[in-house]
Amino acid sequence: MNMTSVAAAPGAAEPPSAFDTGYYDLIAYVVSNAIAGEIMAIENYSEMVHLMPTTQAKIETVMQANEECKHILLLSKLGRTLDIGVQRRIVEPQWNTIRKHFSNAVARRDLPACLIIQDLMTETMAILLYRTLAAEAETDPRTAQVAAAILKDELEHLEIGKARLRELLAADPAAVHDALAWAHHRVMPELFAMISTSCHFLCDDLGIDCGSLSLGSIRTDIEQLRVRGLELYVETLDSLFDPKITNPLIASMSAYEGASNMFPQAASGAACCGSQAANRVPAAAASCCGPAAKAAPAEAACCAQTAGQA
Amino acid sequence: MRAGRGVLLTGASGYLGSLIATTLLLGEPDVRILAPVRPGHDPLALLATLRSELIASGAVAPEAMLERLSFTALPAFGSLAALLPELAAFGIEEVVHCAACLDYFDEAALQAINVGLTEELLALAGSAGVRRFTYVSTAFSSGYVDHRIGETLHGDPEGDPTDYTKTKRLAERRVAESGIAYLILRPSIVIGHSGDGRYSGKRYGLYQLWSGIERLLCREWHETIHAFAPRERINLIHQDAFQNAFLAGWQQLPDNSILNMVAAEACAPTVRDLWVLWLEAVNRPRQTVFYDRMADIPSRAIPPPQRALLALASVNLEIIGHPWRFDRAGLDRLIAAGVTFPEATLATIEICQNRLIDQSAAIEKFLAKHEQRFALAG
Repeated sequence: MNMTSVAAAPGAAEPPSAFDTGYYDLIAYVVSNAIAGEIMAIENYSEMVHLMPTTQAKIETVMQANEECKHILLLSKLGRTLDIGVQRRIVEPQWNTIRKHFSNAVARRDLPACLIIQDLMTETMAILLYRTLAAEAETDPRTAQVAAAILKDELEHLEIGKARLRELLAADPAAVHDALAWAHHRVMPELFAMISTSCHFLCDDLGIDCGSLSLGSIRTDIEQLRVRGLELYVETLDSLFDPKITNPLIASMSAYEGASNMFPQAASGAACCGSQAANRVPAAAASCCGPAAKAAPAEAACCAQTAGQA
Repeated sequence: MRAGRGVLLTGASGYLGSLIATTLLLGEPDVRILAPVRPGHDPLALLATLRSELIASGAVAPEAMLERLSFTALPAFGSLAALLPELAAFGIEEVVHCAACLDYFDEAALQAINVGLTEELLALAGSAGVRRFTYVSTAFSSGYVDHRIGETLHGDPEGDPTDYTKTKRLAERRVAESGIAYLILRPSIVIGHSGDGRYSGKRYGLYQLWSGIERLLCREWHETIHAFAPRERINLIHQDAFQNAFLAGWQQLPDNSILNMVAAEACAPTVRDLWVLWLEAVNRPRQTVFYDRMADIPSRAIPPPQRALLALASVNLEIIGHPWRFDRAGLDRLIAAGVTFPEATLATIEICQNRLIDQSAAIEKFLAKHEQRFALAG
């Protein structure tokens, strides 16, 4: 449960010269978004405390929130150490959307949905993020060190969530399955939309040229990250649920915007036709983000008949 | 009113819609097409796609043909009547409705678009005095039934693979009940051209599976591959077969016809055949374990990429695992009357597969990385 403290070793503050401006812009972007996720996690854990069934569980949940606070401090310190600007507020709208769904679940006193949103879905994506940053061969030592420390906590949070959900599954599997489907269709599109280097406003706030960001700086790419994210999510679900329950949910991810380059289905697989969809923007385009993109709504949409749909 | 017959074509920005547009431009010299598209679409990009297809189809003067095509902005739902003056000015005599929602998992959008939009278009067509309404449905609109699927309107089935098939079935009924003469076309899974494999559609159907393997199973070599491969035949038709059948049906079939645009069962490969074809060309595992039923696959025990692929493609895999049997008397009559309908055989499917393989950087990298291993394996 305890977060590993990352002491700043003397001399470690100097970023290695092998990393260029593009790399540090990317780290600033990623770290800022990670902080936003941690802020959301604090709010989520805090909001669900009163739903927890036992005092011990309430204490544990508060401690989880506290750990997320420490992550923010660590990430902020990383920004100062690397001399990169980071934002300590939620900028990207997806986080607020997820928060809204979470609050909705709290209002319904739907504890399974809360646990699924925060402990399964969000933590799984956090694990993907911190694992990527913790890869020492790809990132600077300081970033790798901080990411590894946070990763340890997030893995624990995932396990705590799984244990709680196993209890709930044993008591009322149907309710948990319903909660999973509800949360999956609302939260996973938002989380996957954020596996991207295009943004709504964050780059502007950071003073970064959005189009210049490239995951090549850490020797990966969006597609690879999304595939890893998918595999990790499937692994998480498989540890709790029957594939008969989860397969249709995962299949629906092929319709996510930006999935075309990764998953089978859609260049913009999701579908619709009306004018609401007119301004749809490829959220996962690895480099984009002109003003038009930033103004675009994100309804799922498409239109034209594609034959292959069996 | 301008000279020539006006046709309102919805969904022209999609794969089937673009094939229909090029078919009409090539095969019906007096037809002019008005294509409403969402404002987000770039007409120049759409034109480029159509131009490419026209050229690939042998058109000698594609620009002149494209002059018979006009795009217009698709109004918001509930406001389609705003198109009425434009329809009158364009001299619209026929509607070909190809736009659809294909998101299996968005029930509201499926209902709103596949049923709601169709209803609204029918009302518009009625107001405009349109002579015939052609509706592009799907071969699977029957839902799961245990009898041969006829060329008639469907009743309520035991169940539906997804709400997509259900809403397409409902839309067919709306079309038939509209009082406007109709033609309902039900293509099965359309794949690339039988001659050169070209395909400009999104990655649905068979392309979903191929692309899934490309993305998920070509990052590393898998010694054993676990494949859901029922022995059912998979009903695929080539885009050129679709185009030829569309044009013939549109020109020749009497009003109020329904046409199953499906493959001849005897020619159709099994899902297992397709797996073998792909794995021999690309992944070349030491061992492949085929499963007849999804439930037999030890999901939690197989490697994560294979598990992810299985889950991602699960809905379509389950659909193709169903023993679909179609009547195709209407198509057979058209073929007997001279329509060319190249069946999708393993050989022609391989052409499409090879086209995708040749265009894939991921597969090229995979094959290069494992060249030595594959050479040793013979």
